[in-house]
Amino acid sequence: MQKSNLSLDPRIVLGVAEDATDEQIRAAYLNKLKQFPPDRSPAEFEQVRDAYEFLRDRRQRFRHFLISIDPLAPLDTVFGSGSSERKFVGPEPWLAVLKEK
Amino acid sequence: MVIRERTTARSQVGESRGSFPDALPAAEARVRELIAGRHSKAALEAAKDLHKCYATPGSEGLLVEAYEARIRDLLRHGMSIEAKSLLDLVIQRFPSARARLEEVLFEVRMNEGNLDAWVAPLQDPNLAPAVRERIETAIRQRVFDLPALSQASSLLPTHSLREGAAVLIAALKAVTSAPVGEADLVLPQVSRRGPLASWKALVNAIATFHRRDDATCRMWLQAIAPDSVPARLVPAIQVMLGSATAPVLNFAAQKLVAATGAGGETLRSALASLESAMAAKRRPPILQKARAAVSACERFGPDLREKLRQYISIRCMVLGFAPDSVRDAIGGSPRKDARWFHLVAKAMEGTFESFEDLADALIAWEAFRERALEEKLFTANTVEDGVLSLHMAELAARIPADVADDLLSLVYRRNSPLSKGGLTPQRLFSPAALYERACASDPHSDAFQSWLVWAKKQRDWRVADRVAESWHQACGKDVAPLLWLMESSEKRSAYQKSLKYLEHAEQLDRLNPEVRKAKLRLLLAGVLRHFRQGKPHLASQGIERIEASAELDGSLAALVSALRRVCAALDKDSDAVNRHAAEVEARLGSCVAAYVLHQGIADAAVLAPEEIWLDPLDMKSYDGVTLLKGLAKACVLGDSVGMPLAIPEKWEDRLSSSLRASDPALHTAELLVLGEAAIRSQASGLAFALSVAGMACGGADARFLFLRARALPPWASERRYDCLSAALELARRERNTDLAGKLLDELRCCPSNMFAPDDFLAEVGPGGYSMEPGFLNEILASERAEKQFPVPSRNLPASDGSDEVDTFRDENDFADFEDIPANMPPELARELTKAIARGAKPEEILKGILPGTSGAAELEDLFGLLVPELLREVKKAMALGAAPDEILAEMEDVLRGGDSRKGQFPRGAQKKENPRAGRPEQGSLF
Repeated sequence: MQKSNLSLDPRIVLGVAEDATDEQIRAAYLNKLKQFPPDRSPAEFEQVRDAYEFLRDRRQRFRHFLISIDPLAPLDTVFGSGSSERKFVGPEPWLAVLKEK
Repeated sequence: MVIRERTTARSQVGESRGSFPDALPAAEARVRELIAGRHSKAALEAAKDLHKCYATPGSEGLLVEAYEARIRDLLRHGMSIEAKSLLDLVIQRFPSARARLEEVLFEVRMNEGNLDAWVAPLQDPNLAPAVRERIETAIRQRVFDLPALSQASSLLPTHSLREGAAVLIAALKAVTSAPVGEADLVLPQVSRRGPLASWKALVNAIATFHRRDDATCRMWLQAIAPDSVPARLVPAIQVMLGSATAPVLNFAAQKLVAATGAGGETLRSALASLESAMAAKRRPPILQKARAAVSACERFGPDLREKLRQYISIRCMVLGFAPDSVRDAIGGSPRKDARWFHLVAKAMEGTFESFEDLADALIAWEAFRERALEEKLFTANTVEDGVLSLHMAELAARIPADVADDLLSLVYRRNSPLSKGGLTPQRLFSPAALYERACASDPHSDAFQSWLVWAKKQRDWRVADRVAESWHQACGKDVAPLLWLMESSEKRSAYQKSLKYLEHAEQLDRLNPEVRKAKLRLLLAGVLRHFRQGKPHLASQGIERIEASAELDGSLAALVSALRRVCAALDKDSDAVNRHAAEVEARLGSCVAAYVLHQGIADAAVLAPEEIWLDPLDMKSYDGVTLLKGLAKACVLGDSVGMPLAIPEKWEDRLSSSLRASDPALHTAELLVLGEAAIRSQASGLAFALSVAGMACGGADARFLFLRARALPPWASERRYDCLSAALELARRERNTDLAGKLLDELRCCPSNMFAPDDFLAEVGPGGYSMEPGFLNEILASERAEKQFPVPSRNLPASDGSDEVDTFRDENDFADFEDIPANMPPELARELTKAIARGAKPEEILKGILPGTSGAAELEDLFGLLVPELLREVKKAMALGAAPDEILAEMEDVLRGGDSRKGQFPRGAQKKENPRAGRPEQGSLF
């Protein structure tokens, strides 16, 4: 089986979900290539390429899915790694709270 | 109650009519008591009666007070119209009471929603301070409609309230739409002491929230008056800041938090708190924090709730909590879906402490498979199914066969999630069944390779052959199975079959280096066989085939010349012998290498040196470095052609002392190849000395630690384990997977480990082989410092009081036996080592090894245990027709009293040794 030297989860490198399909993976790969072309960002390009080579292999991808899950990982990283953004939502939702006593 | 009160009040008033000056205070008190008790209607009725009776200013004042209470009551009950009507009536009837009713008048107007009317008095610069304060307080507490305030027609457009409200509207829109700098929120139009001050604090709080300046945000929140309208947003903002004690929010606040996406902070905070509790491993706080985390998740991440409950449940299971207590904390049992069993399986693998954990992991994996198929995560008999089954097979392969039988009974006793559709426990713990399923689901080379690696370790050779056959059928273009079948056939002396497999492999990939190497090895084995059979003419033909098949570089050409030399010796052609001997020396560039090569050929062909006219090398004529380099060159050649060479007899001490005396200037590769030869030759001292030299060079510590570990005597089991573990850690860092695999195999079947695997399960588990950097450095430093081969301590434990001599107190006895376990099957070696430690006698041990019945099979089993010289003698004896029983009996005699390396074996029917006579092939490995 092809060995990967990825230090990061390949899904994180390409920015794809756990259940991403082949088409989604390829689309993400092409998108990343535009962001990190080989002449301007060689290190990132290599990482993106390795991640794609890893994920396009159906066996490696599934094996990674089987073994990468860590039930003992810190819960705040498992569940809290989502977006911590603070969106601008306009004045209305704020005023709605003020209207209620 | 009210009716009774009213009636009582009236009666009290009626009773007092006759004597008013005395009864008024009591009546007043009564009315006030009713007002305080919020019985405004009764109070009003009583006050009316009182005023009818007495009509004094006091009674009028009391009546107005009662009216005021009544009006407030009406307002409280939302009857603002009735309240206003009543107020108008009172003011009309009692104009002098207007000033007193100002406040309630204000409240009535506020309830009407007539902001203009509220604030209108503020336009009067002479407004009484108390009234102004009352109005401003009402604005602070009740006005949420800033646009309406900014448009209040009763105030001039330049009024501070209108200007302030307008500025605040714009600021609120700005801070909720985009980042706004601090300088833009000074808002001089809004006074810090005015009724809109809390609004100013609010917009700044929102701005700092979006700037992620949480500390400043909290400061602004504290500046908001608790009774102000903006204070209604404080709980929501606190939640968005990730407050550990998140208050319960109303619906609008929850929507706001969800819309901004900031609820995750609270959830993360709750999870971090839970994680800290789990690190402390105390149950009550863990369960409490778990409850809070699940609650936070329900509010701010409901789609993650089930997943979180599963994770918490697993973590608590690993900590050993009772399921009931966990269930109560997280609001019920978690869903037992595919993800659940996935988590359980990984948890069991990760916390490996006993083979029972591996068994549980296998059960969980099988349950995961079933659920995953139901949930359509993947389909049966696909790549994914194959990958999963392969992983399970590799897991099952780590459980020893005898342990697997015990685990079966355990599974039957417990509730297993296995359904009838899955594998039975027997097949679940059977690596063969799992490998078969893996390769059936996803037939590909890597899976079959893994299966074959496992099969090769089984005692029955047919297992590996069947696997190779399956592989060949499934992947007809792979040469690896054919090479194995070729090698297996050769070992069983099925040469025609072996050649057939080789031809097939050549048809597939003639240029494959493995195929070419295998062909060379097979042809060489044929030549050696012919030598042994005394058929030099056939051997000569074989040599020609070797010449034709391979591109002969210098070393291969030397091998051909060496073979021809042996042929010539068997043919008694001295000229040819000398000529070919000179060729060998010239091509190898070393007399030492030539000698070792010739000796190796003789050993492989089971010929005595004198049969091939090989005189012993005069070691004194060569310095240590020359000997070592020559030996290395020969060993490299031998390894390349599949004919591993041994260290010649009596060379070990000389070579070891050469290594110790000076830097031999050998390359790492030379040291390693010599090390392997020393291990093969059971020259532990030399192997140790080579590891010392190798570690002094630096750069290949992993491989030299591996060498060191195998060179150590059996009783140094802990040190051996440390060396293997350190080597494995280094191999992992170097990403040397081949070496890591060998080290893992060695660790798992550590034949020199005196204890059974169960005794060190926490260490020999997959997670236990990793090593802390500090400990690794300690081992490296310690081993680098060790230059001498270890000897057992003189201070052996006292005997058990028996009068029998402790046979193994003598170092020679250790020496006799220390090299046997290295080649022994692991289970046998373990028992042997234990017996040695117990002080058992050699003949007892031998009887334990040989179960009492003798035969060719038992004798063949011993081939791997014997030193080369003894092996040669045994094979010769068998070739000459000696019965296995006789040979075994002779071996026992030798072990009982004599030197095993010099024992003479029965010849059966006495024959003159004739190298050219045919020899029966019974029992031969070639």
